Amino acid sequence: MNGPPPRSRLGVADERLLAALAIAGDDEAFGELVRRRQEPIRQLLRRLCRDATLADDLAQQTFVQAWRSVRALRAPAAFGAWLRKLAVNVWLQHARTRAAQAREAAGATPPEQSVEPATGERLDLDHALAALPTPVRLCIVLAYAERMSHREVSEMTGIPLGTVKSHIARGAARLRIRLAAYG
Amino acid sequence: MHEHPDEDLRQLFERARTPLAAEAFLAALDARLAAAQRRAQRRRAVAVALGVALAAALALVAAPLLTHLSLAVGAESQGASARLGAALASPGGWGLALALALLLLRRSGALGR
Repeated sequence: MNGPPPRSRLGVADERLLAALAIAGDDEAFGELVRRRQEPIRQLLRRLCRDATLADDLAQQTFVQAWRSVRALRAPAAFGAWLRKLAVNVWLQHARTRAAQAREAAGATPPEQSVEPATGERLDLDHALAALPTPVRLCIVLAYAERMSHREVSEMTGIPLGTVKSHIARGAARLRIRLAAYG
Repeated sequence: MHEHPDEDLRQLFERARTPLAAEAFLAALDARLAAAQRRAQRRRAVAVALGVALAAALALVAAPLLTHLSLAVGAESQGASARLGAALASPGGWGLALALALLLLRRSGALGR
């Protein structure tokens, strides 16, 4: 029995080892995983929800949910994909709640989110993404920002593979048109 | 990325990934995780207290029944002992005891020597 590595070595430990320790209830190892994974999860949520403050709030919800349910994770090697799926589900839940609230409020389209001050390409991209329907935006972001294959997108979202392909093709076309209009 | 042939679009997404400051995010997350840990500890404490209370309530309900049952068993065994004692003290009981004693002595070989 070698036992867990000293705390000072967690920073250079392999992610699978950290995930295995976190699954076993080691909060220090979970903290190290959070430090490593916070940036990609926040980037993903920023592309999905356009609002930086909201994205960080959803990212925090994701990590709190991950802390609660990490013991149920069976394969330490799957930690990254599991966390990303958790983030997507948190965002989808938020989007559903917001859409329901908007329908109740006025029967109108969902209210516009506050937007972080940004300029140039990123603002254009986020504007164009925000105009896409939720499932199309999700497929586009997972495919282009997360560089996932069609099959991986289908497996993560539960959307049939054929639908994923058409979402990505149509979404990309709409993005190009909108981005061209922004100049 | 042969499945996503639009390289311009992919690069646009890549350029949109601006570096993010971690400190404020991690500090806020630490506070949320600490609150979640406190809530989980409270839930565990409440669950333990409920378990103890339930066990105590069950003991309170079951105690009179158990007492009644043990008294009934005691009374029954006392009656059975009395009946056995009376049977052994009767002439028939004496005779049976004597016959049993002779049988045992014979089987042990003490009467043969």
